[in-house]
Amino acid sequence: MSTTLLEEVPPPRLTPIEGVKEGLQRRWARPGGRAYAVLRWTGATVFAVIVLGLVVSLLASSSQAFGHSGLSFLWSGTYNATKDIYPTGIFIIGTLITTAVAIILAVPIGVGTAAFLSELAPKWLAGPLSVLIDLIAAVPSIVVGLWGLLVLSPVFARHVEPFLKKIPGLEWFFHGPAYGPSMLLAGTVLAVMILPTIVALSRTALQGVANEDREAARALGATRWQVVRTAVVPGARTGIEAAVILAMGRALGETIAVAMVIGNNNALPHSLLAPGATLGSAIINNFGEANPGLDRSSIIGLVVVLLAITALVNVGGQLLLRRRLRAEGAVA
Amino acid sequence: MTIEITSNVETSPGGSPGQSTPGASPSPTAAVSLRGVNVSFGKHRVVRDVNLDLVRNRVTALVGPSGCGKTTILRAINRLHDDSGGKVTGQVLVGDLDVYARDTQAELVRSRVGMVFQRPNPFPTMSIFDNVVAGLRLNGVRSKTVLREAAESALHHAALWDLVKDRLHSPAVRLSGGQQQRLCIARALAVEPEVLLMDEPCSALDPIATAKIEELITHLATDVTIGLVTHNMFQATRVSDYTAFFLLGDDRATGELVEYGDTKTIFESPHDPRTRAYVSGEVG
Repeated sequence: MSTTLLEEVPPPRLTPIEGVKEGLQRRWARPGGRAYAVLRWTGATVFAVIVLGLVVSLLASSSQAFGHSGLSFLWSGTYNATKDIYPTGIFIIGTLITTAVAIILAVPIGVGTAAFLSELAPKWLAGPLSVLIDLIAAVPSIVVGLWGLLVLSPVFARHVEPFLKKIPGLEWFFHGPAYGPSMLLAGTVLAVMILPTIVALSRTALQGVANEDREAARALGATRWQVVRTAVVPGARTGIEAAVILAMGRALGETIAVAMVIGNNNALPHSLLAPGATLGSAIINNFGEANPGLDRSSIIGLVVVLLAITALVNVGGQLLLRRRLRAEGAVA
Repeated sequence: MTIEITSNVETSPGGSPGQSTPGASPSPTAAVSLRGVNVSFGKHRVVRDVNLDLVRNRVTALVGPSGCGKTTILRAINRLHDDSGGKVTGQVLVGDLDVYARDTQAELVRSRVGMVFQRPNPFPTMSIFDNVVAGLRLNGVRSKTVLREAAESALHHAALWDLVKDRLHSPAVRLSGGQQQRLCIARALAVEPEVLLMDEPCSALDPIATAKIEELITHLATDVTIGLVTHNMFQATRVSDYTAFFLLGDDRATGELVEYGDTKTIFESPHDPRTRAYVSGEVG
């Protein structure tokens, strides 16, 4: 009896295309479904057009430089008649080093601050303090740059850099004259600028850790610090890594503040105390005076390289995070 | 079963087996003893004047309707209220350790009193092995041999060893809910506590997993004193030796201990009419 009942209504066999079509028609027919579909497709299209347009126009404007030097542009840039060669490789190295310095300084301080705000600080302190940190994010980068140049730079030249040079074992990193403006100072200024991002996002990640996990550690006899270390920070690891990746994106692309404190020297830096240049600082220092033609084209070539690096870091970071989440079983 | 303390005693006005005044030294058979314990959050007193002993190497069930302070009392024993703003007055003794004495550190209490929570809460980023030895590592144990032996012993105790011995280093969250709960029990046992507090350990589990945990509780009670909060009357009769019945007091806001005695008495011939009404299913 029951078998006939089951056989009575065979499911309609549709080809995949028919299935999609039918789904679309059904959604289209639903009230509100139409408005939502239009909104969704418009949004997606606008974004795609903006990104594609940006990439296409940049590639077109830099095609002359790439055509002139080919892939060797990625290292040695294009010869420029009136000025020096733009040494792309040196800018890339400068960008990576300043970003690394910023991350090395900002991640421990930022995650530590976030852990303090989320786990240890009393409420009356945590509130105002996090507002204050968020305010740093609102300071325009030109102001941070000026502060770095006028306040931080003399302190670095007189105290910080001479002190670092005296640390045994680190001579390779810190040698040469202490000017003030340097890779190190640029990295430090960048660290200040990415700190609010790291603190705010890490704090959200830490607060998202289930209270059960904290109590699990507490009930095992963990001290407050041990609770943070064993249960809270590991639980928020993925969120903290996302914060670092976002902050890295900002540090790679930051321009004006870096240009003000890095010393703008188009030579391979021999130590962190040496002045240098990054892709961003080189672009802003040279674009205004670039002659139309090959000169300007090669600077836009630098923009393309910068864009490629930030895109790589972001996409690579996202892939890493996704793999981590999958390994933890959070994403199917 | 120790007969001399099984005669049930009404706790309201003050006293548990063999005791007459709050604050007196506990009976030698008590692994945990509470004397005149109150817990409040802000102005709200959640539970008042509890006098209760957890008899050594026995299971004591804390039963009663929701919101009458069972879990609150349980969490007062290992000072878990310290971090959630609860204020505990009265005296709690774990062995001879005065839990709320000025110079007693909460961490010390918690390393002697293990706890298992409602929902299985293994550390989600850790492997099975790392979860089991987490408590030992927190106490500074580093020797790999010691950790491995402790993990194996604890997992044996939690009836989980055969199931996980080949994948000790895979993530703990891959285990099923019931297995995760047994892992949490193993984690609590690994530090060799005198007392194990269990806060509705089966409430998130299916009947089969529940049966396994109940069997485990009965086995464990030969080595460790167990305080078990449960909503399940049948569970209390199945696994506990003693039962403490909690109910909201006359103000309908503050929980209190109505009756304490051996489980058989509480469920078959309770003294207090409120207990009788509750265990017979008339109210609750």
